[in-house]
Amino acid sequence: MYKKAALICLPKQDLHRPPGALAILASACKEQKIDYEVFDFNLWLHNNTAEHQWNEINDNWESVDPFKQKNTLWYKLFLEKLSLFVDQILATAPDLISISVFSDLSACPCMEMVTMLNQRVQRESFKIVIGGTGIRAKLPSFASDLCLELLTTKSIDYFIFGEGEIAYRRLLQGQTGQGINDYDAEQIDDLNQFPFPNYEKIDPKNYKFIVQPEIVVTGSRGCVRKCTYCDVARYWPKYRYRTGQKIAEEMLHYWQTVNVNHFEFSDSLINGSLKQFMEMNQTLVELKQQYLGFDPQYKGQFICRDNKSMKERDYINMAEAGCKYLYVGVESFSNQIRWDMDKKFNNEDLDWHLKMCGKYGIKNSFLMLVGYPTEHLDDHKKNIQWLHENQHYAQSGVISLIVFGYTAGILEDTPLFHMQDQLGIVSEYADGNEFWANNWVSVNNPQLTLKERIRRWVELTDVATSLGYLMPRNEHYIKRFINILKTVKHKKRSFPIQASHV
Amino acid sequence: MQGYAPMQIKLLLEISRGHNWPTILISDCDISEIISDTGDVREILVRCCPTKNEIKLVRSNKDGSETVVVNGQILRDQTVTLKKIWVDDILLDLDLVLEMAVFRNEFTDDYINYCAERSVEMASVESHWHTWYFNGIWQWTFDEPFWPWYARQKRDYQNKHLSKEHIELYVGTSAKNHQDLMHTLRELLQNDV
Repeated sequence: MYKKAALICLPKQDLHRPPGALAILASACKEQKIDYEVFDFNLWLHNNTAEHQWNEINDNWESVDPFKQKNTLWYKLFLEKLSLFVDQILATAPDLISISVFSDLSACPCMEMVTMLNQRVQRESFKIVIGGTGIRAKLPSFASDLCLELLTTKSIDYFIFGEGEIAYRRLLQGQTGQGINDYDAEQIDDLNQFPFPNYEKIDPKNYKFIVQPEIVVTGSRGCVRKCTYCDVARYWPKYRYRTGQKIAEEMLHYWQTVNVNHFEFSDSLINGSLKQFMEMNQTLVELKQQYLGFDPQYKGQFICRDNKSMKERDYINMAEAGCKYLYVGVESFSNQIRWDMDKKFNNEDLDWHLKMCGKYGIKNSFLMLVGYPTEHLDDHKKNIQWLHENQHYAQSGVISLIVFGYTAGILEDTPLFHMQDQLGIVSEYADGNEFWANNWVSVNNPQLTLKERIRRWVELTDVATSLGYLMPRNEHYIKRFINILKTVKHKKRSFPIQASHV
Repeated sequence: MQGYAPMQIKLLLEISRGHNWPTILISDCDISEIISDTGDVREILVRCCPTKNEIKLVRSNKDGSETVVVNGQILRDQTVTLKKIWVDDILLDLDLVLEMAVFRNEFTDDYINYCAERSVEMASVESHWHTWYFNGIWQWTFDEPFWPWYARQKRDYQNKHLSKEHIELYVGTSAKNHQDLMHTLRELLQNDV
């Protein structure tokens, strides 16, 4: 049994709201009656560096191999700050240091923090556990997954793969077992069984919120869709959801306890279970009437559905319940490509969705995937044509943002990864490990080279910009593309490529 | 200015009565319908097809007696509130519209005297107010083509009210901000790889 836990979050993460993992871990500690302190290094680093330094550090986590930049000024500054932060953590004398590794982009900061912790004289007085989806990141500088690398070298004591609620509670009690130091994670069937995440030691007001402080809410885990490019099923094979009633009650609880009215869902899809989604909206509308001042506003990832599944009445309820902003994985405006991706909606459904969102004041951020393996030039032209035809939705703000991402990558354990033979996918460059997921070309669609995918990305961002579509700051994408193109100049193709369209 | 392209504007108004309901005249108004009625408060949906680049709402029929006071407490008041506004069935950002529009108050004698006695300044032209307590004219002038103009107004509004960091991360920016980097990227793309 541990006496004091240090709960830590790392870059790279959104700064708008407290990371949900901290509050989930805090809730487990509270339940097990273990003292804890919360340390958000991401937020601390932001608050303790100049803006240009922060931007440089933050952008570089997305570079191909951040470890290769150890001698740069930004990396040295990062290590300097990290050292100061580690001092702060150890000053609280924890006997369990729990590090949340949110995504692959947190892998390098995790490696550095763990290294630094191991160099401290107090090392024998605490154990280190890491968890989160980023623990299986494959860093180019290492042979195996981050967690295996760290465990093998005894730099950490434990890793927790998959959902941490059960395994972390077990660890707090001084036990080990399934889901600890193995990939045999125990899936939680009933997401309603745990107490609400705890914000007693986390102040949402300290974060860089847009309008009002926000809190992350989880309504479901896993996904009802099996989009070919997505690796969500790797972490959460089975789709589980909470009742709409419970989710609405949790939001009310945050308003009552920490005075927060704005929420962001962590769900892969907030409308994965339509029944629960509608129940949540209905309950929120009722709670708003019961509790004066409870005026929730929420954002979340959403799947487009046809007008029979999502009727106008459902959009009215969403708006009345406080739905303000949706992230929609549109990926492509070509029906064929979306079909190939197994997205299960078409442009007609998208038109319906935009019409309803326009009418009821719900804004959208469109997430796009440029250069899917089956994307031909005609599909690319359909993307451009759609942007022209729907310009008014960008100008009116119904499409608030459009994000073109890094171009299509083939992630491990995704359906696409297992379809490589079927799609004739081979490595484009013999020695292209630095840009792993992007180093591919399909022999069935040989014109879609890495360079051509970047060219299409540039063309789409140019067209979108000229038409008034807005994008989040995309400097990191451009820098990465420049880096890739400079690197491949000196690399040998492993596959003969036809002339591109440039 | 280009020729005016017809568009449909929809207003959702909430009106409340004192002894009487307010009188509202809206330019180029086609249809209005009461969509809810609680006795003292009604919601009205008004559809207009403006023939020029403005929408004007004249609100009248209020005198001092329309603020019903019992034992020193206001029991009811005759008001008009703009709750929502749509152009071509797309809901506009109400705060932005209210910032652009103006309401020219026609104060009641009672109110003028009340302010004079207490040295309260009276602004006869007001933006931002979405509830009109006095008679007057609410006017919103826009430009054509509407949506590009609206997008520019929205950008200006956000630049005024949000921080640069928030705009870059959340509201979005234009790729023009990264012209140098994009130039390098284009050059690399033009070279044979």
